[in-house]
Amino acid sequence: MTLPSLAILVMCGAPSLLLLSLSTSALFARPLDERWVGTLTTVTFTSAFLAAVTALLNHVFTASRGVQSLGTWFSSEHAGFSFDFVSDGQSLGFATLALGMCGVVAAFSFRYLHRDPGFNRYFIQLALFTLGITLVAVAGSVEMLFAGWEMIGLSSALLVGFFQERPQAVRNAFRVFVVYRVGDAAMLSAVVLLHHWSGSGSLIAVVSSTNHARALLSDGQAFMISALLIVAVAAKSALLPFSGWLPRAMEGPTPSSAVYYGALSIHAGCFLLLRVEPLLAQSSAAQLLAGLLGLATALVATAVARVQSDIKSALAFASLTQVGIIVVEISAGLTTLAFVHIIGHACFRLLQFLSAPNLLHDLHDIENRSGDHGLKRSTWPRFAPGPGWFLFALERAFVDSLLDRVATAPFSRLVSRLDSFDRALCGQRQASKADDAKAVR
Amino acid sequence: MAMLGVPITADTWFVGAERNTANNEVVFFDVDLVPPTHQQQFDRARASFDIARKNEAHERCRRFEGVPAWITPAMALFHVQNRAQDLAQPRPEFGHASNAACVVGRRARTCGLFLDRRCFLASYDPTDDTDGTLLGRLLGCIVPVVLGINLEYFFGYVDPVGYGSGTKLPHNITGLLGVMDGAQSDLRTGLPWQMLEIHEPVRLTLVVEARPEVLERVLMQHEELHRLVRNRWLFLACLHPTRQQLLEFGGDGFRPYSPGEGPSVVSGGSIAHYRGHREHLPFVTIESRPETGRAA
Repeated sequence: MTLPSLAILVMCGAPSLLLLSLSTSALFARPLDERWVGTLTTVTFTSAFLAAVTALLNHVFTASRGVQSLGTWFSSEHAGFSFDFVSDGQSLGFATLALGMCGVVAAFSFRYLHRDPGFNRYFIQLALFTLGITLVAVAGSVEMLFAGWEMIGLSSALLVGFFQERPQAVRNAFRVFVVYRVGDAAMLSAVVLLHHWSGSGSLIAVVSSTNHARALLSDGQAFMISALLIVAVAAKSALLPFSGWLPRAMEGPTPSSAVYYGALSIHAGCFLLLRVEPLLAQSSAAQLLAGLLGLATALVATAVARVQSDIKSALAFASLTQVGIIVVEISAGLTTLAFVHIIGHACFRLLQFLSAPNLLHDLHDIENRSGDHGLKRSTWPRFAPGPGWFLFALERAFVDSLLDRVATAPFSRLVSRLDSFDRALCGQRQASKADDAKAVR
Repeated sequence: MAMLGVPITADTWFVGAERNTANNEVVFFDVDLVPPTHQQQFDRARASFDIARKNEAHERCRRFEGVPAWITPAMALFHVQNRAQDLAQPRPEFGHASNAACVVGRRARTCGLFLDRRCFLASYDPTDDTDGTLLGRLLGCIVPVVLGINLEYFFGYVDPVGYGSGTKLPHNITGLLGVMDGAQSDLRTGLPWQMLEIHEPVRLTLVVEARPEVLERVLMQHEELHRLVRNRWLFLACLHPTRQQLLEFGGDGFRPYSPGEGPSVVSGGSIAHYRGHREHLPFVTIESRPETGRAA
């Protein structure tokens, strides 16, 4: 076994082990005590992070890149499933970032969640998330990517609803879950189409360069797949028109909000787009679509962020602004810039989210030090829009009510019509059955 | 002041100071203005403050899970300093949690008692205050504050959702003035659960060192105080200034109260008494080294 494949095995294996041990013990109603959870998490996260750093350094110094295969599940003449992982700068870089951040947040959470009744549950979900984000980073096939994607989505929704006794938290978790399902449906369709048209689920074949992609797919096919992937990315990274779920997701404990919506989960969409950039580059229509979506999101989010009255929503929309800009960069083909932007923004926003509960202390500190009230007016000239714009921003661009009106309401109408049709049909059947029974008698 | 028997000579120097209850830092103001003649005295005072800071931090640390029982007072001070600025720490201090009583009287009467940080102590000398005017004014200031704190903890503990602000973990600062739960909720007021969890919801026992007839007159004169006592928002007891006698207020007047056995006597300092314990401890008399409880 070579060094990179060993490293990748540890990177994915360590969080899996943690997940397995925590959830098995909880399943048998023997949850581990806080100290054990702490030790196990520290050991597994540290080893995974060290493995990622080793793999990254190995990649930098030997310039080796390629596919690490860790075995095959099944294979047939037409299809197969093997555990393939990519080890290149992007994947290893993002994995290192993700594992480092998950480690930091885990260390933060030991103290933050001390004595909370959901302590074990929290760490199970964090382990699931860590495994998911690592898989997304290093996946070599679309199936692996999809598996990681689902783990992120599931753990995200579960952590939004972490405080299960509060109806509002559970309602918002359900909303996040539903939006993710829409994105997942698009993603799954993209995966199936990619398989169908290119004959393989290998990401490497498609995304290693535009020429490769062009050889496998026609322009129209590339647009179709790209468009579906853009929908998936929009759902995961809260681009328009799905932005409404992002502030609602701030229901969980602060460190989970930080790692999901400040640092990693929100960038998972950007990272996916970055990976499939060669595919995107094949179709300028898809590039334009992504670019416009990113631009619109950035503009709307920056306006909305300015009028939020609570710190977590303000931070959520501020990070959404940057995510929009990153999407624009990717669609313009500036992949290196986008990658650096992702790393820098994730680190900065993680810290901002983690220190958000300390906001008032920080403000008092500034006031004490400067002898002035800390809220200074910006020296930049101010664009003062009318009350209409203010309302627009305050109502978060009306995206939630718009989605409710154009998507949720027609859908539920359709379902209720189908239901009443079903009832009518069954009712007739039952009536006629009853008649038959009478006739027989 | 001289008329009251406290002469302030011309060579007296006052230094203001502020104590931070979370990290136990004591900041002295205008230290550079202290004249050289007083420098030595000031240094001595500051040294005793340092000892008090360490001992207080140590006594507090026994309630923090995760702080080992064997730490020294100096390490305890270091710990509370770090704890106070730890972003991940929802319990920087326990504040007034576990408060149960308030003693208004001469500090000599409580000297040597280990009160487990559960008593508010207010100094009051009953010898000169024969008609209770001073006591009336004093209780008028103390009782609303101390009882307010006590009831805030009491009701926060018995109903953390209604009167407290629930768990701190999803709190979200809104409008730079308060917190709400998660993405949207009402403003959450009251104490968070993390500050309450070691509290024991008991009503305040107010012990006043004064003669019963003086205390009764004070109650008659201050209707708002009388109402609180009559309606049992707090328990009132009277410690006789000249006798070893405790009297309990029973609605219409004071009745003698015998506590049974007095507090047991422990030797070897308060650390020997509480080391290794995390739960509430009984009040005891510390024998060897006279140590006082914590001032409110």
